[in-house]
Amino acid sequence: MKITVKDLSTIAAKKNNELNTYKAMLMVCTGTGCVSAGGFVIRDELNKILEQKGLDKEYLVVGTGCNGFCAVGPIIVVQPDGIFYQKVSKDDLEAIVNDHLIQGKIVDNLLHHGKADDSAKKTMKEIEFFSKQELIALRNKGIIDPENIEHYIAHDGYAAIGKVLTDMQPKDVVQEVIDSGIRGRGGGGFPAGIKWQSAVKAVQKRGMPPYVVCNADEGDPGAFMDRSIIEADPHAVLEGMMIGAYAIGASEGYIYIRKEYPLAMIRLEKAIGQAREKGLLGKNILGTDFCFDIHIHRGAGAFVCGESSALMKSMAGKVGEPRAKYVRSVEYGFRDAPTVLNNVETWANIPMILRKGANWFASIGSGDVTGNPWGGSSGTKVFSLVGDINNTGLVEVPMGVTLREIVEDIGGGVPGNRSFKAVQTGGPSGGCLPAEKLDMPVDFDSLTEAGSMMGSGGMIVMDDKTCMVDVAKYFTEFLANESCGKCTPCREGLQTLRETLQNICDGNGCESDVKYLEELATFINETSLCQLGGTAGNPVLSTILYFRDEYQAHIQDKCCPAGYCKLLVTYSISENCIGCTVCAKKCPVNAITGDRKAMHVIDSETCIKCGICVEVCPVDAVEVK
Amino acid sequence: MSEIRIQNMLRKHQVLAEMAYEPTPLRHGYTDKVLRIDIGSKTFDIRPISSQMKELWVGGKGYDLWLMFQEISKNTKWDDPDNVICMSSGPLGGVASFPGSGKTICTTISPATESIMDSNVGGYFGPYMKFAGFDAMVLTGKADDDVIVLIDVPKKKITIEKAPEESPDAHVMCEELTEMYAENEDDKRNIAVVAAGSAADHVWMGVLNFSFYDWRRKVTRIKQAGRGGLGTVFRNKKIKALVIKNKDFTPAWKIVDQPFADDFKIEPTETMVPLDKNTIQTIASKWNNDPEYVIEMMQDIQDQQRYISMECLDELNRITGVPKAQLYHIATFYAAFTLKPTGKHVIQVCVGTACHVKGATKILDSFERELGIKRGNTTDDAEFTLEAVACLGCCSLAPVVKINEDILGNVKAGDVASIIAERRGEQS
Repeated sequence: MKITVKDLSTIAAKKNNELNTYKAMLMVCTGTGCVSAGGFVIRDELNKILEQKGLDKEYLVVGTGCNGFCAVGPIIVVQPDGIFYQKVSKDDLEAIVNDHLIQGKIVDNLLHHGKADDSAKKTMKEIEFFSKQELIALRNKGIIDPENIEHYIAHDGYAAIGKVLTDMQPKDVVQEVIDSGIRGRGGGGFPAGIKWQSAVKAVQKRGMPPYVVCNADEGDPGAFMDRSIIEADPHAVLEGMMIGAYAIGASEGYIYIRKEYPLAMIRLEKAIGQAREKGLLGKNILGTDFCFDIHIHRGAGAFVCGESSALMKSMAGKVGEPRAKYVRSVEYGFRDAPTVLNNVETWANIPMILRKGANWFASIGSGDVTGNPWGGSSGTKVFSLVGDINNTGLVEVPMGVTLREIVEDIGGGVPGNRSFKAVQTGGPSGGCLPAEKLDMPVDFDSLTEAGSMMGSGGMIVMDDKTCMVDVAKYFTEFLANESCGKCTPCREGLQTLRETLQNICDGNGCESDVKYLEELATFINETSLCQLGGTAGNPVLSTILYFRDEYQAHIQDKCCPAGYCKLLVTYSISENCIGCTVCAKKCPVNAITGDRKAMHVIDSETCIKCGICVEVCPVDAVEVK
Repeated sequence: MSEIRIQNMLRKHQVLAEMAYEPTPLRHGYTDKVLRIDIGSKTFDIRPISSQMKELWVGGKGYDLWLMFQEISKNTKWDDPDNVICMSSGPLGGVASFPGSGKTICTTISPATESIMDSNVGGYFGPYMKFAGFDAMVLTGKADDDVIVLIDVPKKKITIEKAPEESPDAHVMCEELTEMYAENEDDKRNIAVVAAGSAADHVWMGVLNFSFYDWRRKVTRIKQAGRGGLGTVFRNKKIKALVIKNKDFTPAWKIVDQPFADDFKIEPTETMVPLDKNTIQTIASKWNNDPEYVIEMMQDIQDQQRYISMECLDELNRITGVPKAQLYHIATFYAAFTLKPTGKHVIQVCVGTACHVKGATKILDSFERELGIKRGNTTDDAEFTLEAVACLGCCSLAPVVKINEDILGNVKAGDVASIIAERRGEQS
């Protein structure tokens, strides 16, 4: 059934009424994180239990997208009260149904405990992880069923496109986006509105129909916000793209998505199907003259395809090699037509900007974007907070909050007795920031100034057992593998960087190596063809800038202060050993000997430094030095 | 050329001087060593290169001229024993990625002009000199009889040998010496000869010949340092030839003549049946035979067949009209495609940043150890393929391992053995 603008509010009201008939809704997280811990099983099992007890008319089970607090999954939130149950297993479901739903008693042992006061937190609002966040792009996470378009409409979904199509001219839409000051969330931070404006101009000049493209080829290791947005709220992305298409006059849109995200792909395909059914995609959308449709292109696992010109070549069924950027893709992009490319998070923000107005959006965040989108960073940013941190997961915060707030308040700090060493932002092109930089505001310009970058928003926390030389080597290796090989500085330079770093990690570094690394990394940054190579030196440069002493320790003292680099450490057992024999049993090469209840010894000749003994030791008696 | 004749020739060699040495490996394009050979006094000298010299003169002609400057005086004539022949290759010498990086630059005092001249030349000598541990070489002095100089890298020694029998013609001599010092046909490309012929005994403009073995045509070919009469000086010193025997660098293209499934011993199992033409046609029609969707078609083929066979590429080429070269480029460029069949269980160990920080390397090592294969390979029984992948997007569960469609979170190195055992058990 094709719907019109007026029908939107009717559908919303109807759906809300329907939802209100339920006594409570059980929101089971079915994002990829929770699914791999059993999310689908819990959803189906819960449905079964309710059916058996004849309660399925009173309570509704909803499989939602990623809740964000992946550290404690699988998660169930009972709405409307927002009671938050964590680490739910199949066996806990009876208790939730019997105690909570039937008797109205909260199941205490499934509640989250705060770090500060160790008290049980009943609702999401009380948990520090959620209380400091401000949601725009993730507005519908965990509260709607991503596979149900009506659920999205009930939460004001497609209201923005309705408003745009009836009340606004395309140029007003572009102006609104410029005024909001939103900058691209994919990495570079180019103001989206300015990009749209250039596309409009290019269309006027060249008379070719333009395209809108959504970059969902989230290649940065350590970042998964695009996947989560699509899994939790695919219609938000579609609506954003529709608005963009209307603004620049496009009638076709493409989403380029990684094949590694099967769940996101399924939900996206479903969402597009439902939108077509409702007449929200296709001809004469919402009964107006606007025609637009969206197709999916699957990526095939090449990091460089996140770069705009490479992405567009890949979409054309070719090898994703970038081209020189003197011709911008906004003028000559996909099929040589003007193309607006934004990433998932940017598109998901667009409907909110149009619905609530540019001024509202510009008032959030840091800096002043009035009249100049480069003047600051407006709105919020989603970060994936991962690595050595207690509360791993997805967080959305206003631009300009400090790193400390994210890492310590929301993230709950570093686990165990370890101390914070660095946080890596911006993916492989970014840099590592040390503890001194924790009070720095997080926005596009501050991060660049500190030698890192915003990137797509991966935030990897590292504790003191992480070796920074190894981290630099890791990123360089990643980039050397992913280099498309077209230009020499990136192809050859990264290999040489990698070899030099490998030498240092193996204890074969020499005095001049650090200077050499700096020179070469700068050279690669300055002379590469595209942004992959143009930022590839950053991990090396930033680690040298902030952790030079660690390089020196590897080179001069031939030791790895973090105890990580395999060739520079030895394993030994300290006096804390209680003689439990677990390590000796687990050792794959039988390098550990010792009698029960007596101190064990590692034979360093046989030891292959696999780390299993460290893992299994109940008293942390294995020392790596 | 008969084997016996060569053997007889070698038997006539008489070692006049010998030095054992340890070849210095290249580091950032330099070994920082110069080899100086005095043919007259039959002495060898390996000298270090200072960082100042490196920064000022870089390599090649710069090194040559600086070394000459130290060796000759303003009165040195071309035919004095003190005249030197310097040879050097720059920091990029032997890097196969750049045009011209195989060159050697030679300098001497020219008999033709009586001033210092330089000449550049191809052949394998320059790179092999670097691999032998020298950034530059100085030849000085004058021998009494015709000699050859041999730098034998595998045996780690340098010798000056009297060599009376070799042909006086440089092109023949290069063939003879290549034959003489190569262990077998493949080893011939590890020999580089520098030689001057009898013409150089008689004219001012004798050239210096640098050989390389052309493995396609199976013949020793020569390049010339032709300017200024370098060969004349070479012969004046009574040197017949300079030979480097390099360490064996048999390149990969020799080992695998057909880069595809041939070297792969596994017989396809029932789950690995190559797709027939109809199936490929069905897949292609799903994407309207549109060349723009060729990557999607290949993904579907990869999913069904677990690798992309050359037959599939042929078929796709026929259906879509996309050139086979481009299809092959796609198949090798994107990580999602393999040209070899993968095992029944594809184990993908995530080595994304979060997983790396949480110890993914140790887990990958454990899988390699337990399966007895390196990443990117398949076990002999075709059960397991081990891959390292960049990021699976489950960073909050780090470290993560994906086996076919199952995602395992918070994996420990100690769990690896049981994870594999579990999968093995599933099959039986």
